[in-house]
Amino acid sequence: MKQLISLFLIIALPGCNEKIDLQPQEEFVKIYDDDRFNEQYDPLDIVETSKGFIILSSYRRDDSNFRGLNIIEVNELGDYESGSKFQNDFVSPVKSLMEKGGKYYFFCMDQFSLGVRLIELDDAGEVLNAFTVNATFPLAAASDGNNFILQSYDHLSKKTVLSIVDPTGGIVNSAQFDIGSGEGVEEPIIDHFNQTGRVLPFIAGKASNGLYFFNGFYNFTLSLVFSDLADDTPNGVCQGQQSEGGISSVTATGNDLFAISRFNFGDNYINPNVSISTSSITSSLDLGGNPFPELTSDSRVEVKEIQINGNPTLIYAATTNSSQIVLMGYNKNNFSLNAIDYLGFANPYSLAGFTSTRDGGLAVVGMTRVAGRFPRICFFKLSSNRVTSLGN
Amino acid sequence: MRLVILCILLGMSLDTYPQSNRKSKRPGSDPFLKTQWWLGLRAGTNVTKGVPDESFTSFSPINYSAERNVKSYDGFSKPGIQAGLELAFYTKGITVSLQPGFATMFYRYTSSYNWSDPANPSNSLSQTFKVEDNVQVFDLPLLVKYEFLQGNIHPFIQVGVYYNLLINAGKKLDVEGIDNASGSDVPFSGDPIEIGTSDLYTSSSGGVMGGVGVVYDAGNVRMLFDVNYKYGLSNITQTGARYSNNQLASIGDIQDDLKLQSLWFSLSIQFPLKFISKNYEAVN
Repeated sequence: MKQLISLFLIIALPGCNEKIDLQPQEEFVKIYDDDRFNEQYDPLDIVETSKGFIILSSYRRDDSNFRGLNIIEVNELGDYESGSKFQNDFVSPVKSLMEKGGKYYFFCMDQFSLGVRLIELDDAGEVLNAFTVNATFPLAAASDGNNFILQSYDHLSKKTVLSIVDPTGGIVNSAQFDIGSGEGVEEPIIDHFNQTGRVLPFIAGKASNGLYFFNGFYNFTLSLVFSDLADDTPNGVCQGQQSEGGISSVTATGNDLFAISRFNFGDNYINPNVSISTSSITSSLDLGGNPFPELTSDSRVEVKEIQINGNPTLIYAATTNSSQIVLMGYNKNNFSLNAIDYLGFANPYSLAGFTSTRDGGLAVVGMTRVAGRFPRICFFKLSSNRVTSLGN
Repeated sequence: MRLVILCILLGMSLDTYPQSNRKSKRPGSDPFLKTQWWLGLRAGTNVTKGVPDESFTSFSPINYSAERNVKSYDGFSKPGIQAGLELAFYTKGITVSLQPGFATMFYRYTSSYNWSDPANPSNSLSQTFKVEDNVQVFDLPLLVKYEFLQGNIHPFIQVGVYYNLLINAGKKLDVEGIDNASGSDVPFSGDPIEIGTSDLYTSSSGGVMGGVGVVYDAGNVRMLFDVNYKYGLSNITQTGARYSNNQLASIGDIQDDLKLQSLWFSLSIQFPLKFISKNYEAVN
C-alpha cells in the first residue's frame, strides 16, 4: 500500500506546472468596444506611458467634414481607463504620438481656421495645452531631438511646408515646396483630410546625413523630398507616380541608406536596404524591392528599427488581403527576413501603428470591425518572448 | 529528479515493511487471510461544469459595463466518458483504491454582445458565442472506501484525491445572432470554429472527490456502481498563454481562470488477486 501512495505522490509532485510563465501585462489582446451602432473609430498611433498606454484615434463626426479627435488611456493590462472624445473644433489628428520629457504630443487641426494645433498630454492622456502653430493642414510629424518635424499643406500658396516646431508650437525653421499648379493638384490632399478618397502615406523624418525629408506632394507628384531647410529648393527628390505610386513607409538606416516600402498602382514592394540619393532626382520605380501581393493595395505600412535581444531588427507592419495585421522582422545586418507573425482572425483587422515597449515586447494598435461591421480600436500587446522570433 | 525521488520513497516504503508480516500466524488469526487485492475494469460517464474564478475577454468596453460581456457557464450539460483500471486493497471493511484511467469532459458557456443605435433602438445587432470545450485527461484518483454491512450487496462511501494530466483539449465555437438593422428580426449564424486548445490549459491539475456506491459480490467477482463528485482545487487555465491563441483572442474569446467540478457515474468489475480456491471466499 505504501508503494502505491509513494507512486501517487511521485506523479503528483510536479503539481500544476506552468508551460509558459508570462505575466498578465506581457501579452494580451484588447478590443475597445462601443455599443453604439453608428460610432466609427480609426486608430492612428500608440505610446507607452508610466501608467500604461495612450492610444490616439480619429472618429467619424456627423457635424464636420473632418475626422474628430479621440484619445483613450488604457492600463498596463490593456483595460480601458478613460477617454476623451473631443467635440470641439480640433479635428484631423496626425498619426504620430510623440513623447518628450514625460509629456506626449501630437498635431491636429482647427476645423474652422484650418490652423495646426500642437496638443500636449500628461501620462493619463489629459490635455495640458493646445499650442497654436503657424501652419495649416497638418499631414505628418516626427520627433527630432527636443523639437518636432511637421509636414503641412498651405492651401493658399499650394505648397507643402516642412517645419521644425518646438514643444510650445513655435516654428524654428521651415521651407516650402510647390505641389504644382492647376485645379486638381491639391485634390488628393483634401480628399485625404475629408477621407473621401485614399488615405495617403504622408511621412516626415530625418535622414542619417542630417537632411530632413518628407513624403508628400511636390511638383505634381507624391515624392520623397530631402531638404536642409536652408531654402525652398529640395536637395534631392525621389519621385513617385502622381498619387498612384511612391513611398509608403521609410526609415533611415545609414548614409543614403533606407528601409522602405513602396506602392505602385496597387502593388506593394518592400526593400529593407536601398540607397536613395539625397542630392539628386530619382524615381521610386528604381528602388526595387520584393513584391508583396498579400498586402492590401492601400495598406498603411510602417517600418521601424528596434533592438530585439541586442539584434538590430527592421520591423515592417502592414495589412494583408486576408484582413490581418502582418509583422515582418528583417535582420538589419544582412537584411534577411527572420520571421513573419500575423495578428487578427475572423473579423477584419488593419494596421494603425506599433511601438516597442519597455519590457522588450511590441504594442500594435489597429482597427477591427467587430461583428464584421463596427470599426473599433484593437490593441495587441506581444511579449518579448513572441517578439524574439522576429529578431532571430 | 522524479526517478530519484521515486527510488527514495520506494526504498523507505520497503525498509519500513515489517518483517513480522512474513512470519507464520496462528490458524484463524492470520491478518493475511483478512485482506484482499482487487484488480478491475471501470467505465462510465461524467458531466462537468466550469466554475470561473475570474472572467476574461478581449472586449474592453468604453461606454458600457464590462459585466455585460461576462461568460455564462452552462453546468453539467454534455456527458463525457471515462474508462480505466482499478487496483484496490481491502482490509476490515476499508478499501484503498487507485483508479488510473482516461476521461473526456465537456463544459459549455455562452457570451453575448449587443450594439444598438441610441437614436433608434430598434436598429440593433446581438451576437452570442456558444462555446463547448472538451478536455481529455489521464485521470489518477486515489480513494479510501468504507463498506457498510455484510452480505452480497452492500453500500459504501468513499473520499479521496485525484490528479489529472492533460492529454488534449479542444474548443468548438458557434456564433449566432439577430440582426435588427434591416428593419426586422433576422437571425444569422456563422461557420463554427473548431480548434485545438491544449496550450490554453495547465499540463496537470488536481482536486478532491467523494461519493457513494454499492458492491455486489458475485462469488469471486465483485461488481460496483458508484457516483463521485469531483471538486477541482487548481486553476486549469495556463494563465500565461491566455491570449496566445490568435483565432480566439481576435474574436474576443479568452480563457477564464477556471476550476472544473464534475459528477462521475461508473461501473466496475473486479477480480481478486489471491485466495481463489475452493476453500476460501475472496475475502473470508
